[in-house]
This record gives sequence, C-alpha cells and structure tokens, in this order.
Amino acid sequence: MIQARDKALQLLAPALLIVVIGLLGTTVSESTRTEFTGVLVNIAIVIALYVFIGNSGVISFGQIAFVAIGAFSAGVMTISSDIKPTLLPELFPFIAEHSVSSFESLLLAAALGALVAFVAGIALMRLNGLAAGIATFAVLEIVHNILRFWEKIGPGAKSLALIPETTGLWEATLGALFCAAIAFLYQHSRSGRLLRASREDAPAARSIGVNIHLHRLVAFSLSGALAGLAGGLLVHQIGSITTEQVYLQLTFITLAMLVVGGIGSLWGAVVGGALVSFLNVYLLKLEAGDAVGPLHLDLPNGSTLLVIGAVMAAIVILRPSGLTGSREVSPGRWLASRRRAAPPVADAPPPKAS
Amino acid sequence: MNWLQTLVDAIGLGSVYALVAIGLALIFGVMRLVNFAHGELITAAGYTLVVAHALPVPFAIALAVIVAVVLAWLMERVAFRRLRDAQPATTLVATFAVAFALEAVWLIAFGARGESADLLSNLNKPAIQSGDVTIRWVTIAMLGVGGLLLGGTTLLLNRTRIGLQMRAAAADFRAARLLGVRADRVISVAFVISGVLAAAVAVLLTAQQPLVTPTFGLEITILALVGIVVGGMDRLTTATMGGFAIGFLNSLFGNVLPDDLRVYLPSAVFLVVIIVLLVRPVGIFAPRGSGAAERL
Amino acid sequence: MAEPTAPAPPPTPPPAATPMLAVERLAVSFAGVPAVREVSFEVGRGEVVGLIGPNGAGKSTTLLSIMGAAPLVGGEIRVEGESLRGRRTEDIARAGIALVPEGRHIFPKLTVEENLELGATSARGNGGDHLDAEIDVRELFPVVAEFRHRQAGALSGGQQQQLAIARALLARPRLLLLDEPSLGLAPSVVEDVWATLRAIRARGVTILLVEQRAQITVQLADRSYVMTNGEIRAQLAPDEAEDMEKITTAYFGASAEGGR
Repeated sequence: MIQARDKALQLLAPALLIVVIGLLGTTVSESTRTEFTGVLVNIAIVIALYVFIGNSGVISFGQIAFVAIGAFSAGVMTISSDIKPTLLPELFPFIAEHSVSSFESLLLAAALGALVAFVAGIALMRLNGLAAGIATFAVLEIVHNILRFWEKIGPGAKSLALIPETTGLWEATLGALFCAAIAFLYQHSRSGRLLRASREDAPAARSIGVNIHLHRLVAFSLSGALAGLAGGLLVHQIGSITTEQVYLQLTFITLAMLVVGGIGSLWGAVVGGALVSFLNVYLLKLEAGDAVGPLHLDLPNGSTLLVIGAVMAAIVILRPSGLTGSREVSPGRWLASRRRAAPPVADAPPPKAS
Repeated sequence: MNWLQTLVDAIGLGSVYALVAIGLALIFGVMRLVNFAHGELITAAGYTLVVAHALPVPFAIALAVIVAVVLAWLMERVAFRRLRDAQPATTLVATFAVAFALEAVWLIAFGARGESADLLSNLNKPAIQSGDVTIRWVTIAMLGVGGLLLGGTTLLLNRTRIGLQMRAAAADFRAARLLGVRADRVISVAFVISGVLAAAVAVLLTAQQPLVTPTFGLEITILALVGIVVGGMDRLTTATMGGFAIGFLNSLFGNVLPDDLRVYLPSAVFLVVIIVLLVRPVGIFAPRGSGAAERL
Repeated sequence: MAEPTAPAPPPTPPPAATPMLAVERLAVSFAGVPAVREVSFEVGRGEVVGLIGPNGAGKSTTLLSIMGAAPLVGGEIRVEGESLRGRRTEDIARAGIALVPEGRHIFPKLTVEENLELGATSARGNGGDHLDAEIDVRELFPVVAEFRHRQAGALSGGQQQQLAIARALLARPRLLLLDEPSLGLAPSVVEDVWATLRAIRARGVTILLVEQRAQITVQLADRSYVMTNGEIRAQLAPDEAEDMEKITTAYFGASAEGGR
C-alpha cells in the first residue's frame, strides 16, 4: 500500500517537470520556444507509449501508427474547406467539404487513434513478447503504407501543408499535462493495477481470474487515444506533416526516450522524454552548424541518431530499467532505505531447476 | 508479360532473401536474438564494395566479406553478449537501437544520397536469351551463389563438429553447455557465418542495382524477418523457406500486380504476418503438431 | 545386459586425503529466496553417495551449482581440491564432471550417434583421461548399438535414460552427477538403470546421485544424505534402507515443506 502522499507525488513530479519546461520556454527566444514546444509534444507521445508498454510489459513498435492517424486526421480536417478540394483533389467528399477547429481536431484525433487501436488490439492482445513486437510493427507498416498511398483520405506521399499552427507552448504544456493526468488515473484504476500485476507473472495472474487480454486492450486503446491526441498536437505545431515524419525514425526516437527514462513508470516516461528530446534538439542544432551556448562544434549529419542510438543500446544492455529504475518518485522509499538496509525482496518466483 | 521470365526473376530474388533468412535464423537459433542489425552487415559490405571499386573484383568481394565478418563479431562481442539471458522482446529493442546507430554511422560517413558500387554491373547483362525470356547473369549468380551457400551452411551444420554443437545449442542451450559445448564459440561462429552470408547478399544486390544507401540492408532485413516469422522461426529449414517465399512473392507480385494495387503490397504482406502470428505462430511451414511457440 | 554380482557394500571408507568432491557450506539463492542453506558434504573417490529428500528440497539446485549453473551466494565447491566456483558450466564439464540432468535432456531431433558424439565433447576438450578404468559404453548400453542412427526422440523413456547416462560417460568424467534418473520410469526399467549404475560403480566411477526414491537409493549408495528445505538433515547407511521410521523422521521431522 502506498501512502497518499507518495501517490500524489507520482503525478505531481512528472507534472511539475512538464510545467517547469513550459515556464522555461517562456524565457527563451522565439525559435528556441518552438523547440521547447516540440519537447513537450514528444513528452506527450512518450506518455502515450508508456500507458501501454509500461503497464503491460509488452513492447509495441506500433504506437506511432496512432500518432500518424491523429496527425493526419487532425491535419486534413483543419485545412479550410475552401482550399481543401484544390489542395487534395482525390479526397472523399465528406472530408473535403468539412473542416473543424483545431480543438475539435484534437478530439477527433484522439477518437480515431482510440478506434483504430481498439480494432487492432482485439486481434493483437493475445500476443506476448516477440510476437507482439513483430505484430505491432506490422500495424505501423500497414498504417504507413495506407497513409502513404490512399489519396482519398489524405495527401498520400505528398506533404500536407497549410495546417493552422495552433500548438504553442501553452497548448503543448496543457496537452502533456493532460496526458500525464490520464496516465496517472489509469495506472491507479482497477484495470491499470490488474494489468501491472499481470506484467510480472502472467500465468499467475490468469490463474486468479484476471482477464489479461481485456485489460491490455483497455491500455492499448487508451494509449491509442493519447497517441492520436499527441499526433494532433504535433501536426498543429509543425503546420505540415509527411508520412515519413511519423514512421520509423519517430518510433525509434520515442522508444529510445521511454527506454532511457525507464519503461515502467510515468516519471521515467517524462524524464526520458525530456532528456532525449533536449539532447535531440541540441544535437540537431550542432549538426546544422549553429552554436549551442559555448559549444561551436559542427557535427556531421546523422550524429544525432548515432548518439541517441548508442545511448539507447547502452541503456537496454547495461541498465534495462532505465535512468529512473522504472520507478515513480517516492520520498517514502528513499527515506526508508536511508534508515535501514532494505530487506531482500522476492521479485519473481525462482526458476525451475534444470 | 512473360510468366517464365517473372518466375525466374522471382526465384532469383527469393534465393537472396533466403540467404538473409539463414543469417537471421542461425543467430536466433543459438541465441534467441532477433538481429534487427543484420541489415547493417549487408550495408557495411555494400559500402565496402563502393570504397573498393578500384580493386579487382575478387579482392573487393573478399574485403567485403572481411568487413562484414568483423562487424558481426564486434556486434556480438560489444553489444549482444550481455543479452544472452534477456527476453527476446528486449533483444529486439536492443538490436533495433544498434541498427539505427549503425545507420547513422553510414549517414555520417557516406551521406544520405547513396554511392554506387558498380564493380559487378557486368553481371546485369543477359546470359541466355530465348524469345521473350532473358536470363541475366545476375539471376544465375543469385541462384548459384544462393544454392552454394545454402548447401555449404547445411553441410557445416550437419557434418561438422561445430555444426553439431550449434544444432545442439539451438535445441537446448543449457544441456549443450553441460556437455562441454562452448557457448562463446558457438555463438561467435553463428555471427561469423551470418557475416559471410550478409556479404554475399550485398554482392548480389549491388550486381543488380549498384546504389548503396544507408538503409540498403534494413529494408531487405525487415522483409526477411517477416519471412522467417511467417515460415517458422524455430527451425532453419522453415525459416529459410519463409525467407525464400517472401522474396519470391515480393518479386512476383511486384511484377504482376497493376500499379494501383502494387503500392499496397506491404500492407498485404504485413497483414499476412499478423494473421500467421495469431493463427499459426510456429510458422506455416512447420510440420503439423509442432509445439507451441513458447519462444515467441 | 551382463550384470556383475554386486559385491557386499563396503563399510563407509575413511575419507581420502583429497575427496573427489567437497561441498563446503554451499548456499544458493534465487532472487533473494534461499534454495540451499549451508550444505556441506564430501564424496570420496570411487564412492556412490545419494542425496534424497522431498520435492523442492534443493537437491537439483545443489547439482546445478556444482556445474556452475545456479547462482551461488556462499560456500565452496572443490573437485579433487580445485575450486569450481565462478567457472563456466562448459569449462566445468570439460574438467571431467558430468551431469545427467533431471528429465534427461537428450536432443530429440539429433540421432543417438550425434547425442553420443556431443557427450564426447568434454573428453576431447581436455585431452586427458580422467577415468581410472576403461568403460566400454557399447557393452553397458546395448541401446547404443541398436538405435545408432535413429532420432533420439524415438526412444522410450528408459532407453533415453540409458542414452543420457552413456552420453555423460563418454566424457570420461571423474565425477558423475545424476539428477533423478528414475523419474517417469516404470519399476522394471528403473531396475535396469540401477543395474547400470552398479556396473559403472564397479568400474570405479565416482557418483553423486540425487533421487526421490529413498529406498533404492539408500540401498545402492555407500551413504545417503537426506536433504529437506535446503539443508542436510540426516545421513543413512545402506542397511538402514528399510528403516522407514528413520527415513520418515529425516524427511519430515524437524521442518515443514521446503520450497525451491
């Protein structure tokens, strides 16, 4: 049983970090502010990943598919219906003739993300481990393929532009906070707690009647909703979108954020999202030849991927629980460990001999 | 459109994919590691051919083999050795990261546009021409080299001591170690062989299409991975058949389908993957009654 | 199978200067849960020692830790004086210690011949001949000749057990560890296996035998230790094999069920 204070901190700590980033963003220059906004949107995406991966223990390579769906649906629907038919002549009429406000597009993005995740999830939640990784990767590929070529619902391979840029620092901060709050509420809900319990030992959980597939589906759909929402925030931040921007590279980077921070906790997701995003931003600046504070290096293109890839590989191999140890912030635990040696904890049943 | 031509080309491509599949399956067999980074071995060999284009062809090929083998050995020693007892899903994430890091290295060293490795473009000339059907030297090379390496690997596994040890380790790693089989040696050999196979794939692919880009090896590896999952990851034979099938079908449908449908080929392929994983996770080529795929 | 008349079991021999196997205060834990608690015993050269006890007592774990396949948290394991602690499983096997694991773990898809060839891996690896006497595997194990080219998975349980023991012997071990060789076998088959063990013992191989079947083990071994809940509780001599009271007390006397 965790104390109420610790429980509150589980939300407050990540929320505080998000707010601090937002506040810092108001103190910097215009262009840097955009980067801070980008960091906050990334944090929202990573939280969405965490809601499923962290709680279920199942690695999914497909969540960015829902970000893509959110981004494209929000993008297409917020382009003014005066210019839409000219810009995207192949669209289905009901898409071409209507448009919604940015806020409404976020709701739409979340709804579609949840819907597609739900449909995919019905099939996939039975799978574990490697099979789940491959199957979710397949979902990413399918969504990418469809978005890239089906010009009745979107721009296809062309870039989608002229999207209202309504995600500023304030909106991104709110969006990230919202995702954090939902994630927090979920992991303390009955479904979330049952899912986390089954994460450690699926057969044991099943044997006491926990319907793992159902709870995974809940987490997967919720993750899809948040991912869709984050996709909407993303597209309104950049003002344009292409399928390649929400495909393998984003999958890799956001997974790296989650892994580096700590797969199993909300704090880990937010810390990892912040750290790796800022690292990404500043490395990209160095690649472009800009100065970063006192640093005047001119890094070759691709250095960012190299550094982040190396860091991610190192963490997975050397410290798989991530920088935060996959734990939430807990002063209670810290204090207890200072006072006396922690008793041995039997995390998992010992392996069967031979 | 000539069916025979399409068939021959498809068999050729299938052989190349089969080689990738063997490389992946060998490592999965002994280590339960899904090596997403295998494609980077192919890319490394490809870039070696680019850099060595002034050398006589046999030297360039030999160099490519050496580079791929060394990189494979390094990968195992530096990054993957610690993953031996990890869950397969964790290894997928780790190899994914290594793959991206290496891809970044190619990007830094050679740029995104791609370089040409045209030493073997002579092979793209027709060898046999009969009416509508043109069989290029490349296709013959694909079949020949593919068959040779497949045969060689089979011989190695079935007739040599180290091959026996590898088969035992793949079946039951701990029991093999209890008999004195050296884990490190068996795994290193698997990586070395996968390096050789990767180099062969690079040579064959560049003969047909000389442009080497940073994602050169990744694309074929992803599809080959799909193939071995669909065919059956647990055994070398079913994995290889799965790889061959995917290369074969990819080429076949690529040539046969009308344009507007062809673009959705990846979706169809990946949908098949999902279905197979749900319905027959041991793989479609696995014999009836195969045990549940606890591996997955 | 030719069965040499078993000689009358010798009295417990005085410990040799360097015992073949010395386990000193061995402690093994899995994720903080102890499986073996400070176990100590010795096995002299040429002896057969039994390790019996209820399920989950830590017997298999003890064997696995000798082979370097279980996480030691304390104690020492010496074979002819050399410490095995910290060495890799395959190196321990190559040093002349063979384990026939619980459930046999033969390779079902490989042929009998191939299984045996793997067994000889260790013998080749160390280049030495650790066995004091020659063992003619073919004579002891007719299954070897008969089914040479069949897939090992096609053999019956008893035949697989013979194969597993033969395979271990081909490594020319100085110390043979067996983990529940009678598991899942019909009584008549178990008798055959026991006859094989007697034959092996007659050739001078040192054996440490983990078993759940108390009586036949106590009868066969020079002495047997009863292990419950990770500790050795009692020692039994062959003539105490029928002493049900002593055995029961040893098993269930002071402790509750053990847990692995």
